[in-house]
Amino acid sequence: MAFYAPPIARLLEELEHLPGIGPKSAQRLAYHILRGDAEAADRLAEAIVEVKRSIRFCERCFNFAESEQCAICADPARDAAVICVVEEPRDVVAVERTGEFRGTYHVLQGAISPIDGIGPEQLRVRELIDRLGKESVTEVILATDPDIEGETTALYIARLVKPLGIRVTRIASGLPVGGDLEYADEVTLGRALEARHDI
Amino acid sequence: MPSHRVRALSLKKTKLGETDLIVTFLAEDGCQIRAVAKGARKPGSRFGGRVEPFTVVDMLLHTGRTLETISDAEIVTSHAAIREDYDRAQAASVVADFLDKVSVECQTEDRLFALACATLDAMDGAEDDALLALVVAFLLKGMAMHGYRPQFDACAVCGSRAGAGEIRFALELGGPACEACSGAGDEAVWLSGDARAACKALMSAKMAEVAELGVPHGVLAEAFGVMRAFVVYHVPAKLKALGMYSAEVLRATRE
Ligand SMILES: [Zn+2]
Ligand SMILES: [Zn+2]
Repeated sequence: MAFYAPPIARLLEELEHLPGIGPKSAQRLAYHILRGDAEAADRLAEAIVEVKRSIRFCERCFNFAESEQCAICADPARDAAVICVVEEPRDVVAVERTGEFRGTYHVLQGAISPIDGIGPEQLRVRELIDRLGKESVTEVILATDPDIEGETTALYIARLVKPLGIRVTRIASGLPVGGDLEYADEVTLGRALEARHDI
Repeated sequence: MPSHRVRALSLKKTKLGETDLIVTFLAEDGCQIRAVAKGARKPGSRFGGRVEPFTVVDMLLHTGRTLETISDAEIVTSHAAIREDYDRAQAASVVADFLDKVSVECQTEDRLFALACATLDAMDGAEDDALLALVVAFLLKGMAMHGYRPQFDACAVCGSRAGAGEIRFALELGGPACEACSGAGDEAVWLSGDARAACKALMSAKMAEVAELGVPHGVLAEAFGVMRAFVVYHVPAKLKALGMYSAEVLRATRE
């Protein structure tokens, strides 16, 4: 790092903290910013500051939100009796794209992964169970990823929810095992949602 | 690009870039392999679920500049029933976590792979109450292969026979220390006569026979606690899955 002027070193260090960015990528991004005009750099910096200031997590479903509740929770036309449980906010986007779902969501913000030290306590599971006690929910659809972490998470939640007398379904396994939900195309994901089964 | 075939057990996956995975394997010869599965997170990927943890695969690997790349993978054993049950998945995670932390690249240990497969095979069809016994047996045998064979009968320093019943199990020595040999600062834990007998039985039983031993849960929970302390003492890396499993064992014991 001593080879760089301090402001560049600082930028590189910040960039390297981003997921998927190694030293090489950080260098490429830093040089791109340095070579570009000042307005472009300002726009980037403002966009980062703005998103942190205006976006938070929905207090009900933990999706991204611009106020206390996200746009989906705040929409009276959505069916509050059905909750679709997903791992990440980007999975909400994936399910929304199918146009097949009119219920609400619950974003766990991750999946159970013992080897990474992520258990139910690190996720928004408690908040889901609280919601089931407060709202009149008739079905919980488990739309976690079709990989080992997603399956384990689905099994865990099913075990908690079923004794409450609420129907628990899992999206159909038409989804290829090992994949990320967010990369599934709308047609496959829509079909998987339609052909969900009780677990 | 040079390539080679290898049979291996998938232990762990880490996301790489947009759609790739880095998968950590235990190879048949006991070496650890980290290899890239390109596009594995895209639906319709040719890997499908074939590199998911707990799966045994035959792979073709290409040696790249830094990491190896998987160009083909065929399932040998999927251990699908582990993935269909929460408790089995938790127990199997302890196995994968331990193997991930003790195995090293290019360091062979022939028996480790066979132990791992026998353990997961047994867990694949196991009832809930057999899982803890399998975890304890695995940790006992795994530590022995890792160079820390626990002893339960003779003083681990001078070899004099320990009496019957309860012993103080010295973590550094991996066995009881007699009164003459016990140093003041030694970290040790009590091991009751029942748990000591259970450890010996589990140590010598085949994995497929562990469930039939019928060791009561309370005794297993105690043996697990001692083995966990022993593993934590000797394995420098933090075993997060072991920590999580331990919390569940405590919860189940209190109920
Ligand atoms: Zn919301
Ligand atoms: Zn002695």
